[in-house]
Amino acid sequence: MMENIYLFILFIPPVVFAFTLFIWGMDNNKRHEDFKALLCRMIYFAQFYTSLVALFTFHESYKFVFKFVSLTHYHYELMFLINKYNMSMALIFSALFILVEKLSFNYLHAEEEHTKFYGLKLFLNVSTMLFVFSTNIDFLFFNWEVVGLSSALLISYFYRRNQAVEHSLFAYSIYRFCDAAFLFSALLLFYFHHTESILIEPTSLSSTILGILFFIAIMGKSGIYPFSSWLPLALEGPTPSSNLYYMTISTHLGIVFLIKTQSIWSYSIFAKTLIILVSMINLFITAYCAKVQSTVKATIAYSALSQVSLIIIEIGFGFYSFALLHMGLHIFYRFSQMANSPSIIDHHNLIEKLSLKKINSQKAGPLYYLALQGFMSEVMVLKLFKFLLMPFIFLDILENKLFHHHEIEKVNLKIKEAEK
Amino acid sequence: MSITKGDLKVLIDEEAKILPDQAPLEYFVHHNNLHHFENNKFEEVVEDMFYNYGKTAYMPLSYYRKKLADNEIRKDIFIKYLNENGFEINDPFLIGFIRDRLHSYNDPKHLEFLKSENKMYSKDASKLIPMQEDDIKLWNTISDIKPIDTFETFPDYHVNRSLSRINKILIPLVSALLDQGQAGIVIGDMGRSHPLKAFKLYTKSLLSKEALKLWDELCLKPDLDEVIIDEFFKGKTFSQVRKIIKEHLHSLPGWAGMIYKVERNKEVIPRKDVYLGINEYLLMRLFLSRFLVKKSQTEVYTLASDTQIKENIFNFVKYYSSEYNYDYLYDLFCRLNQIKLRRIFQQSYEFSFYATILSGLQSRKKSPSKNIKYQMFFCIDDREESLRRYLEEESNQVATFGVAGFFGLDMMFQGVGEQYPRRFCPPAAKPAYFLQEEGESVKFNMATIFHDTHNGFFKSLLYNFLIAPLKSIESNWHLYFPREKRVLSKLIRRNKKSKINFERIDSNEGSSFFKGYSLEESAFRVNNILKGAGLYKDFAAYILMIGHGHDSYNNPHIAAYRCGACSGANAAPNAKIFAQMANDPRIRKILKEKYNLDIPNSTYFIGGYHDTCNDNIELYNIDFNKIDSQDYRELCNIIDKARAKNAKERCLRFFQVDNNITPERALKSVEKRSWHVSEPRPELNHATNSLCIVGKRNLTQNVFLDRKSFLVSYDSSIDSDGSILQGLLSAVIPVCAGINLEYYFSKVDTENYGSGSKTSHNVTGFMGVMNGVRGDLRTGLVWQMVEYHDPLRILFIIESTPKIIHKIMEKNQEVKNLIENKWISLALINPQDFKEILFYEQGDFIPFNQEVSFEINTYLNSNEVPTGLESPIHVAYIEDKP
Repeated sequence: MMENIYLFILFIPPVVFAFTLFIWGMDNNKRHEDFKALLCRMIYFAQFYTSLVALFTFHESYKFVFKFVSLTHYHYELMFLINKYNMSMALIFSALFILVEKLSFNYLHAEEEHTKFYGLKLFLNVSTMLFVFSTNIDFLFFNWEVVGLSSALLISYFYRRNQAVEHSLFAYSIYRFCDAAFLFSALLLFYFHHTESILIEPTSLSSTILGILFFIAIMGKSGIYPFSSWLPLALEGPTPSSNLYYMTISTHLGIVFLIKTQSIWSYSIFAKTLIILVSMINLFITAYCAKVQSTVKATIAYSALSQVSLIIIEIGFGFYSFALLHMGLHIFYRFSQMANSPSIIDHHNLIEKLSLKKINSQKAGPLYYLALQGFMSEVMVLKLFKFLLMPFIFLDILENKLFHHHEIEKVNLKIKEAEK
Repeated sequence: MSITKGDLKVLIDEEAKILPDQAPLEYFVHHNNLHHFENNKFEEVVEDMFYNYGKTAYMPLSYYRKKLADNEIRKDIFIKYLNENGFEINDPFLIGFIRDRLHSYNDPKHLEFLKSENKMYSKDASKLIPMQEDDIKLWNTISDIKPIDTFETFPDYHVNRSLSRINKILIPLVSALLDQGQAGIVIGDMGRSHPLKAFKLYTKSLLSKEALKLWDELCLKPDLDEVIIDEFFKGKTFSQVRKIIKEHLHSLPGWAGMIYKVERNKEVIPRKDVYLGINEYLLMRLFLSRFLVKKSQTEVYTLASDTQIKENIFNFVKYYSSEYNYDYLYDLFCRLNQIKLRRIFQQSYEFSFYATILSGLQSRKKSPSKNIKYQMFFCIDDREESLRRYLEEESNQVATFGVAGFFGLDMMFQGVGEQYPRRFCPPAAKPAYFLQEEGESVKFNMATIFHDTHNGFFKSLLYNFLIAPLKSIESNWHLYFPREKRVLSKLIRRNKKSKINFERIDSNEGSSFFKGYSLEESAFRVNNILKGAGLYKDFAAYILMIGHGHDSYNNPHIAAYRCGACSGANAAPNAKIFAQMANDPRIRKILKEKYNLDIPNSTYFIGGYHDTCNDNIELYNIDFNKIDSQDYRELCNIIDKARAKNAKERCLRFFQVDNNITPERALKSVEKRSWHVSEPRPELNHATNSLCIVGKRNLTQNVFLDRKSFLVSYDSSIDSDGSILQGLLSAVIPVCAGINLEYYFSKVDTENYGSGSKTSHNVTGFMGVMNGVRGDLRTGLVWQMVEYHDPLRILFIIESTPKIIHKIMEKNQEVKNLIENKWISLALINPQDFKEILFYEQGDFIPFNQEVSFEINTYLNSNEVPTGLESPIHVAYIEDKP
């Protein structure tokens, strides 16, 4: 009973209010703005306190099963698992949402489209919470998608700026590429084990294959090389949104996923080694990139990425609780760094001017200039996409030539007539 | 025929005039965005910018229509301006046309939207509106109208989209080359050819081998101008080259402007080994465009064309009335294009405002003289207007003066423990003196650990476990309790006792600055300030010199909020030093003997500092032997009450603050606001500034001016030949005009002249802010500063006669340009009776007559005036208190 109430408080209010906001639409009424902020705050506080209480009162893990479809020979059950890991993740994320709410209220209160921000934030909140608790791989995929979509929409918050939309598309296409691996892993899971639940005991083959696919799936959102360049480019929106989406939730959701699916991939030595090695490479690359960047947000973004890969390495070695602790600390650390990022000039006056710190100027070599461009990761990704799209472009041209040739001419004629 | 080196320089300089001329953030000073064009007419220049560079000239019509409906643009004045431009107002059609949204196609917002959608601006009406059969007939009839000779044609506006790829590549490199120490690793000094070498290393993976070989060859040549001409402009005509340079420099105006500024003005940056110049930058761009841009895609925006006018007629006839002759309509639409209509609106808006203010000053009652005990000197800043009003309201013993906030001290100043000195005088002045504060500097500060963003891997790992919990607690505490955090951090950061010695002891010949002022020089400066403000007799017992500044958190544009007369520094040292000088008995002796300025021994000068953001006032170095303790308590009491009321008046303009707030709570509220982590509007800065009154305080006493006015103290009775006024005006007019015009432009076009919304800004290299990590440097004012500003050109009201002003204009070309070309407006008020007002128009002073009576209310005190965002009151009277 208790666990039902807990899950109800976590999921239902944000969903309801998010949809209400979208029906409500854009308005710039001051009073409504206060009301929206108040409701959001209440929702996040409720999530936080219930998670806190649950963490100390629930002594065993619970399963909540929701029968979705029930036919004669087929059942689809949504299952939510409540255990210590999941509850502490929910606690961390709900605390984060409270802070972001506090931060964004003043920041965005007179911006034209703040409703969009509130609405997307609620969608992000509920999809994150569902992601944390659900155990069905297809439902995980759905929430993973909602997180990706809402963060891509938030990158292009200032959609009148070409650059913001471009970078939003870039980030979203990286998400989509990695989501393909996620989807594929869901299919393979069903193929190997005839279930969509991730709580299974894998064979050595399925463990290896699924492990590799899971890792590719998280490479996009967690910004593992060569997909690391989307994160600094994504910092186009308002500071609170950058803070919430890209510094904290988007990048750390991969870690949550790896911890959730540890029972699958941890059987395979190969998958573990791959995760550790690739993250190790990313760790050093992004750490050096962070050193080189001359803008404050890019510096924070790259150093966040290097920490994220460190946490993934910890998971690879099997220190799950430790990694969870590290993740929690890291989220709040980056949050406060990003929130204080505009004040860097103030701190500069305080620190550098008072000769407490010297400028570290070095003779820059080729490595420096390579790091300035993020080790060409953007170019590599674009080339990869171009390569992948080649058959489609070719097919498209072919199809037009073969089948739609006459139709196109007809449309052209119609346009010409209309112009006349 | 190819161009010469001289031509190239001229071309670059010409285009660079239009680039933003803003110094790095630390030296952010308000200036006229188009100050290179002050010798041309205002209207011509802004409209030229609109046609050639796509920068908006006036507010959109919807804005003016709202003002017309709110009666802020007075109908009689608007009709007068329409008539002057040759339009018959009795035509009912015209009225309907002006009131309605007929011109939405020409609205700049619409243009912006279409630009962002990458669509052509000019579209057929037939495509945008669902056509019916009747409509097609109508459209056919209208499109048959033949253009008349009066049709004005405008040049098309070209944007080269293909250059955006070069921008993307170059921005990180340029940002790294100009970095002043923000990155963890900064490119070190590698000599003069350093930017070219860096470019080669940077583009190694992008360009082909042949291209890199060519670049090496180019780098070996000694003269960059020659390289550019030989390689890229050979055989091109002058106008072709102009087009290329324009395209390249205006593709990233912010960065190009910063490079140009830094190259010519090295003192604004601390690092001296920055060698990136505009020539190097241009060469890089040209080189990349040769090898990377295969197809040049140019988009053309047509601003006004025959088709558009026909569209307007079509819309008008379809939705409003079909009674009119089409040829007549065509003629009218041709003459009344959107820019012209907006110009008329703008002029009538301005004149409506001027008329309100002038008639308000004219019919003002004189206030009785008082028994003065405290004389307070403030900066002329418009933000001090309200504080001065409240101080005088609070006590009959207070008189206030306005002087330029650097108190005449043209100095470089270095605080305790600072690495390099900073300019504490206006950007136009050349500082010749260098003063240093002596004292013990702070050895260690927690901020070094807490706010370090140069996290490499190991450091970050360490921080993550050791510092992160503390840091999270600290910053979240700050998020919820900004006031308490501020108190604590003040306690920790408190500097130990320091001392400034202004007197020059040794004559240092080697250095470029004098170290301190001699007694003579000090006396000269004290005399200038006091006499300039009209204080030459009746010295009160206490004279306060109060400089102003601003302190807020999370605000990269902090220098823009500080004292403009100190080049964006806090003016506290200036006030301190001035008070020290004026208290010195040796200097008083010189003043008495040489300048005939007899300051009594009982008069005591106190230096002070007003923080315009949290309304805190500090008084420095008070010698309690010279001030009576009861007087001191009284003084503190007056100041405390006045600043609380001032805070209340400011709060009325903020959102999220209750309008019935008490002064004490208002004070707390502004304190909280100043130290808030997520507050994009710590203060509204100079928003709504639109007036500058040069004259005795009598002229403006008990007049509520809604923080709109710069107030300069000046007494015309001791200045028969106008020499003091000339000194004042040559500083005050350019500074106030600069502030006002920057606000005007940033409000009118926030994207091009201003720097957009503050919420997405990203600080780069301690130089500026940009959107995201790969955007153009955003210069100008942020939207949060100009949101509530009314774009009005400033009106100077000077207590003087036309003869003197003509003389001053003859002597000072800059002032003359500003006045004659209508960048500012000017009115003179007769110093004898303060009644007769002359308004400057087209080279002549015309008596200002109050044609329509204005209703100006009288209130018991300033806090009762119902100000706020909804119904602004420009001018009101405050009752005298016995």
